[in-house]
Amino acid sequence: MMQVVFKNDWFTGEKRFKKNPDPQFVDDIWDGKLPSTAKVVEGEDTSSAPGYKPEASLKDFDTERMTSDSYAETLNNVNEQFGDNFNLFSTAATKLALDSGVDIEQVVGTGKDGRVTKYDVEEYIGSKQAAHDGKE
Amino acid sequence: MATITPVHTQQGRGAHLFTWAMTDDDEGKPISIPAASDRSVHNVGTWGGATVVMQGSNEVTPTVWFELNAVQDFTTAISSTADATPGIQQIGENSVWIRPVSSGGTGTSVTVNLLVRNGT
Repeated sequence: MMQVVFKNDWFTGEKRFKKNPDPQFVDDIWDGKLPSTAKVVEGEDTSSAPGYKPEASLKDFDTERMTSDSYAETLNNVNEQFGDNFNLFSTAATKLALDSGVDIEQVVGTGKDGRVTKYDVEEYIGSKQAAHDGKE
Repeated sequence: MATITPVHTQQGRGAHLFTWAMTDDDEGKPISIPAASDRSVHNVGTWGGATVVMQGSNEVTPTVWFELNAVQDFTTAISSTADATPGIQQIGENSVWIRPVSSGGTGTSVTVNLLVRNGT
């Protein structure tokens, strides 16, 4: 078995762990090139390395599944992971939209950075109701 | 025509897979991950003559949609008619909203797999 061992703490360094305590996720920082300090060895046991998870599999990444009920919350969470530290939809807006059967992405957000608030959903419902009443 | 809510699966840190189970003439419920500049799509299933395209909108509240294009030339539409036609496609434009749309099929059952990640 061929494994790559790093002579310095490029991979398991303290800074890395502070940013991401789970070292199995290297794909977002690794550019495909080994650092100059890396060496390739045969058969070295790395099971005692910090963060080693022999049971790790793709299922470990399967942290959440989006349903119609969690649509807004999931998008908020994903955007936060990408550094967008604002929620597209407020919690109250999400709940009201779900309770009212409103597609929340159709609601114009007037909050900070375009955030959809409960008020926006109420306005949307009101406008739809007014349009509906006008047709009758 | 139905609106299909996607399923979200995190694929490691910083990558997310969204899948829509499309049937005849469906629209996918759009997602908005503007910071995810890398987006590739892979569609598989029973096509029944359908075409599946990816559309984007930069409106805060999306009403007008445009077909997205492949990154290699920004003129080849992200459009699939079979599992391997044309295979995995990298989307060129970054848009506020993105969704799949299926049309022209009978008995269609296609899963749209959109992987997004931050390319920086």
